[in-house]
Parts: sequence; structure tokens; C-alpha cells
Amino acid sequence: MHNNLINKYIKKVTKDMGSDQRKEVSKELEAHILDSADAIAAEKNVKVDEAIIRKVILRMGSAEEVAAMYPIEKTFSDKALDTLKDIGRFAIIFLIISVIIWNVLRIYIKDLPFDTVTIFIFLIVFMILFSIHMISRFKIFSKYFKET
Amino acid sequence: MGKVFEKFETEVKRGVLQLGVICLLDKEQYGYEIIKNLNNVGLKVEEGTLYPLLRRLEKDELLSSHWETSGPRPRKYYKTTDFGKEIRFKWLISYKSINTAVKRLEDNIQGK
Repeated sequence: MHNNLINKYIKKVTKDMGSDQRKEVSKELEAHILDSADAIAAEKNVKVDEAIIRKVILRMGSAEEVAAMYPIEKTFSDKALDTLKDIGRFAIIFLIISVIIWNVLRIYIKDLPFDTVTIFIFLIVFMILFSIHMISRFKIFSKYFKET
Repeated sequence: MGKVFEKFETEVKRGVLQLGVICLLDKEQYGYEIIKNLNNVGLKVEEGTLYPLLRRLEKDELLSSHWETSGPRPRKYYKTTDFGKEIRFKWLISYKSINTAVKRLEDNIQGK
């Protein structure tokens, strides 16, 4: 019926939530919007129409503001997915930087060996940098948890 | 003037609303009902504010909830837990003492 309008609003509210929370909050907010719309329609003795849905959504407040009031609830799999994305992003950046460094080094060292030892050293540097990155990231996370 | 007033009201209401909800929910109710009942006693609730608050109270184990799917649409019912009732008792005392303090301060203004 007016699902588009409702879905658009709910999607905005639940955008940054973990999957379990998103499912539940979506169901609950949808029920609320429909209940509210039914009540307005009954009062006016009309059927629920788009204007009524718009009015209800307007009354709920901006999606961004409502979203910001929800507690952060990410499950293990949500966090795992975030971490995977993080590793991917970090690996790409590292590869680009490695290629640049490699080429710069080759200017100075003519016969730079491209062997397992060199790759191994690059890998270790990658692991160290990534560990530092993750530690600082989780520190930022715990700050968020305290606030909410 | 309007903005200053609103900001104050939002800040005060955040706490009072939590108290209102755990006082109201001795009998289980769903979101829309809660808003209506709080409005009926004179506590105006912005509709978008209540649901995040319910979620927070549930996360803190002051409320428990379950889904009821037998009605016209699925609804999430909330109820105050035993822990919620303990906290409610303490919150009420704290709220009353704040109220008394404000009353004294107000009396001082009028006494001038």
C-alpha cells in the first residue's frame, strides 16, 4: 500500500544497525507507523492514505535523530563482517604502498632480490601495522560503548 | 527563546520518560499503547523517542519483551522486570528529592 514511504524511513533509521537489531526494530517501527495511521484514519473516518502516513512519519522525527538514539548492538557476526571489510581495505592500501616503496628502493638498490625473504619481511611489516591499526580501532570502539 | 526552552525540556524529559515507562509497565503493553497511556497522564512523548528508549531499558534488563503475533499485526510487548522494579523504587526516591530541592529553590525566588 504505502510500503515504499514506510520502508524508506525505516531503512534510514536502521542503516547502521547490526542485522538482528535491524530486523526487530524494522518490524516494531512498521507496526507503530501502521497503528498510528489507523488511529488517525479512524478519527477522521477515512481510510489510511499517503498523506496520513506522511503525517505519522513526520511526527516520529527525523530518521537520523531517531537512529542516533538507539544503542549500538552489534553481534559477533556483524563485527566479523566489519573486521573482514577492514582487513580488505587495509590489504589494498598496504599493497599499493608496498609497490611504491618497492619501486623507490629499486632506484637505490639496483639488484634488489625479489625472493621469499623479502616477501616475508613485507608480510611481517604488514602484520605489525595491521595489529596497531586494529588496537587503535578497538580503543575507539570501547569509547563508543561507554557513551551508550 | 523557543530553542532554549526545548533543549531544557528534552534533557529533563529523557530521565523522566525512563521513570514513566518503568512505572507504567507493570502490565505488559506495546509501543503505541505506551505512548497513548503516557500522553493520557500528561507526559507527552515524541513517538520516535520512545522506541530507542525501550530498547535501551531492555538492554539494561529493566524491561523484558516478547512478540505477539496473534493480533492484526505483530507487536512487541514490554513489561517491567523485577530488577526494573527495584531500580524504579530508587529512581522515585531520587526524583522526589530533586523535586523537593527545586521546590525550595522556587520558594526562595518568590520570597524575594
